Amino acid sequence: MSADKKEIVLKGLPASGGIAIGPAYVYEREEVYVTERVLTGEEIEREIVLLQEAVKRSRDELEKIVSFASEKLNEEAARIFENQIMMLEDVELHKSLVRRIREEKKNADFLIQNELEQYKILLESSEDEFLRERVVDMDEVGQRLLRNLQRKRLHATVEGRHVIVAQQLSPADTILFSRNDVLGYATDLGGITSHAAILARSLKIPAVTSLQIVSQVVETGDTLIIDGQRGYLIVNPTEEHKREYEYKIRRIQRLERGLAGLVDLPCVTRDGHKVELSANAEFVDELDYVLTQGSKGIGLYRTEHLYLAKGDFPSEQEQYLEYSEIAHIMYPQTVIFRTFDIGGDKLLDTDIPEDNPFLGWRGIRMMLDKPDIFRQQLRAILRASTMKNIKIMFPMISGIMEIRTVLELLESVKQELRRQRVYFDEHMETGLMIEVPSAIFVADELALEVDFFSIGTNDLVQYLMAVDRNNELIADLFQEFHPAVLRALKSVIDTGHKHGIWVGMCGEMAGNPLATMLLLGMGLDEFSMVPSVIPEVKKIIRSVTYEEAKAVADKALSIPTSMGVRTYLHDYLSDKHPELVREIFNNEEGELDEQPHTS
Amino acid sequence: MIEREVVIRNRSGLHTRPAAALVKTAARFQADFFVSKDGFEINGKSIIGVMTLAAEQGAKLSLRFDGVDEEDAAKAILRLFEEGFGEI
Repeated sequence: MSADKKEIVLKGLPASGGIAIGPAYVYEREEVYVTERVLTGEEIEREIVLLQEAVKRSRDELEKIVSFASEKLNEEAARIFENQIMMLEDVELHKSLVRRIREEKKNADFLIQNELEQYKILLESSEDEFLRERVVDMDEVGQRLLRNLQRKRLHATVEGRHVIVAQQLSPADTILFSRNDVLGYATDLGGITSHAAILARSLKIPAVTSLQIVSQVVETGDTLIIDGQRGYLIVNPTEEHKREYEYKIRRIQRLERGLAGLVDLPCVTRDGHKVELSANAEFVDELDYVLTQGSKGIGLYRTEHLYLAKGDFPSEQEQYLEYSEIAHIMYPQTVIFRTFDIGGDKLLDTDIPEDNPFLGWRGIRMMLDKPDIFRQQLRAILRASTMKNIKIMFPMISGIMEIRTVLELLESVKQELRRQRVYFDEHMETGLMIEVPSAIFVADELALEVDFFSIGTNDLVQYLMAVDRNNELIADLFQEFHPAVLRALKSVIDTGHKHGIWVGMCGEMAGNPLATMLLLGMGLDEFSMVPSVIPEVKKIIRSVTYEEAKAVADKALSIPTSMGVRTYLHDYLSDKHPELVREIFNNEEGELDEQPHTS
Repeated sequence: MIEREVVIRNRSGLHTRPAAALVKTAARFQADFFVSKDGFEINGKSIIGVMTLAAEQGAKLSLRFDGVDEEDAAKAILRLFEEGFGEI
């Protein structure tokens, strides 16, 4: 089928490990294409229902924007979208669409475009500039409606196992596709630590991002090899490449079985220094897998997906049910819940964009502006704490006043629960994330307020280095081994210990095997990572001594460049622990690196 | 059926906000509501229709109400025009 097509090798960023071979499914999100289609008899009434559902979904989206706009912007901004809602629900438009679907037996999306086109011609011919500008609103409404009308079909047609190819995938897209049997994600845009990529890793689905042109080159049905370990995508591979990758897939499966033997062994160095390895998680469905990977609980449970899945804040009861289910599944291991970290790139694509979302209204900032919603989450987490295996942590804390305000709110929620005689863990530990650079410099004071720190390296590195982690133009400046990052980490860990609190890390770096000895040697107490890499990190920790790791950390801290640090760490391991390098880093020097065929 | 003639008094004509107010008010009543200008008639409950009227200050409109609550509807709509949609 693809025998007559030429092989193309594309290089991107390895965003989520694993290798898969399968047919492509090209997903178009941005542009909505409409084709005219004649409906069969039984399709007609269904088309009307689909139209009504699409209107409803579009309305829900717009209402969210209206409330966002009136809260955060101004009445005028809100009115633009209120007006769009009125256009969306216009009686004449709706009447005319329903009539034409029945009479002309055409698909709704075609008719929508056709109807709006007629109105646009009328408005565009107006001498009134104000009215001519309304064409823009009408276009937006039309696009939204078409997207909602087609999205449903798009998802309905992704059956079977495919590699999803797209310009870009939002976190919501990534989740939606993962519900089907997806083999992998390949995108034009996006970096390694975008939330879509993190989700892919968490779901154990291979992903390659920053492929630039993949969505234009690939057609649905093309055979693809996705190599999430090294960031390659091979379109219409030769038989030789197929055989090579089938062999690799079998080899990875063998390696996974080999590391699986570590699950029940403690995470302790050869000289008896013990650290905690825990998992980052986000879905109840993942927990079975987490438990097979040999972690000590969940070091970061992201709660945002409740918001993303629903498109709105979940109720206290919905949250309570999920949180207590997680607590029960994981018991007696502990679970650290991070309160909603919405904002940054973790928004549904229906919200109003901010100029600098990562420097904007996100994390604790948004929650402190929405105390009612925040209280519901705090209540839900506290109520789920009855088995005493829950901790809570707060994202994006930048200073003392913020954490004090948060803790006061937590205390007032506790008092409310006491008054209502609702039982919860009075000694639930509280922590804060160190990810805003300012927090590093006031860590001395912050340590007095909480029971632990958890370092979020993804945001910390992004903010410290002033590098947008989704911008592939500067992706190579996102350096977790930069001396400034290492010194920041060391300083936070030392400060925490000085005040007798423990310090963990829940960013990507905690799961990078190259960083394991370094972080161990700096004295990190807890490593929380994607569950799939836990066996590898555990293997390293069990193979070395704490004394040795401390020396490695000291040496690494004295090296002035990121590249120097990486080279040192890699050479040290190759030299002293070649067996680890063979087993974990999987370094058969890239046969693909030499042959970028065509592109 | 009730028929009335009105002249648009407010400065910006039937622009977004007045148009929205007109449509929202009309939607509160069961009676059908039609607006015509220079022989071009539109459904007064349709925002797109009202916009395509392109009715500016000074324009003369014919309003037509038809239905059980046509009197109440006419009263409410005429008041909007008299008050210049709150813009005078």
